[in-house]
Amino acid sequence: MKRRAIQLKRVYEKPSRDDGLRVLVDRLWPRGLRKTKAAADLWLKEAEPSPALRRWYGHDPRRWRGFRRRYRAELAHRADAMRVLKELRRRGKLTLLFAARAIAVRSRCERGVTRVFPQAQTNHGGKAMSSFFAIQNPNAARRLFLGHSGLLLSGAAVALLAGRDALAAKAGTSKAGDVRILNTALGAELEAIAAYQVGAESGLLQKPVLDLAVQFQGHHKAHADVLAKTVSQLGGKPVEAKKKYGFPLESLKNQADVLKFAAQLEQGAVSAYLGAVPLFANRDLSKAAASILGDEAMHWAVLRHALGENPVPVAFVS
Amino acid sequence: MLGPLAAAVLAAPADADRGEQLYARCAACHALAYDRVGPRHCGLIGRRAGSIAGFDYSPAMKASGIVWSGRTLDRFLAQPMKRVPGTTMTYAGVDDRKDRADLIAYLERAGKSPACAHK
Repeated sequence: MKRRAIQLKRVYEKPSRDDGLRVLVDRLWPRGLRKTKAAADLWLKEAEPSPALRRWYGHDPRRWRGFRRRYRAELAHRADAMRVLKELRRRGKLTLLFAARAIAVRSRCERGVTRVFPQAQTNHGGKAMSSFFAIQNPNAARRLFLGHSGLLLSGAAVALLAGRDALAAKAGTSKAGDVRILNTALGAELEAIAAYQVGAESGLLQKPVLDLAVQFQGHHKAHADVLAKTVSQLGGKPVEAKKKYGFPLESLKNQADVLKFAAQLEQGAVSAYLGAVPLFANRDLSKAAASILGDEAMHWAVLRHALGENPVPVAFVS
Repeated sequence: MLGPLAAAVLAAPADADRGEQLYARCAACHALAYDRVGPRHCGLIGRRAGSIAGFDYSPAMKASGIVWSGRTLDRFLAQPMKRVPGTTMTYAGVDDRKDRADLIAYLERAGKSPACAHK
């Protein structure tokens, strides 16, 4: 598989569709630049050299080597920022944006090369700049990255990742469409949370089924959380839970009834996500929806199993 | 060679029982007798789109001018977001013509069933 590169660009350059996720890595917001103009999907202030180090360096060529060394040492202590950058790069094309100051980038994709790029270029694009200073330092880079493997992104970070279509949003109505799809899904998740609450409080569920219901409800809460954050991230207004749901409580008389009811909801949810996956303008959102689909398909199977039915009755879901 | 097969499939009578199985796909958002993320389906046939009082429809659905029938449902279910751009029914659609016919046959039958007697 071809590894995806990290591109470097001045934030004042025109954004391109090929930029992928645009991450601003300056500590200060670029002077005189409007937020929409920057088209930055994420602002990672922690990736920049400290103010003290920048002052010490002062763009003095004699201090260049020392600057690199000290900067690397600083980055080693900013595990969170590096973790985020590493994870973002794993997920796709990445463009790091900066206004003026020197920045350093560590990327394992470039064979553990640590590159430090001074300001210098303005109109030559990322490629010209990335050939400037390439310093072989695979060991330090490897130590840095391997030290934090196995990371998991929080729901908030997933929402941030999904919100990478700052450019697409400007180009047309795709963002509004994606928000609508996400909000429909969010509405269904909120209902599922309420349904599991009804089930858990019904007194009809015995352990271990009760524990299962609580666990599944927790998953739906996590889904709803990510969906709502992503809607906000895309500039939309997340739908809220209804005050009242019209669940057919009169038909829930025993544990099996509750399980059947839950299984129906989960099966429907799988179909709903399947029907949403191809609709997103932003393919990262399709991926996120597929991830939720997989989880809810597992719920469906486990509920069927608890009912004594064939847990996986078909080779394809529809 | 496929002509006769296609004709046979098209000519096959709609199967409401099969449609009931297919209706499971709708169960994340719809129920027969009560409004959920999507509106209830009791009374659907003959209803003007976007007309259930108190349900939060998209402006697009309210303005669609559709009256639900076998024919209009078939077109809508094939590609909801194409037929009514702006609908909150963000679902790719039911591709298969026979699936749609069976689903609609079920909706028609269910509308006359006791489940919908008072809805």
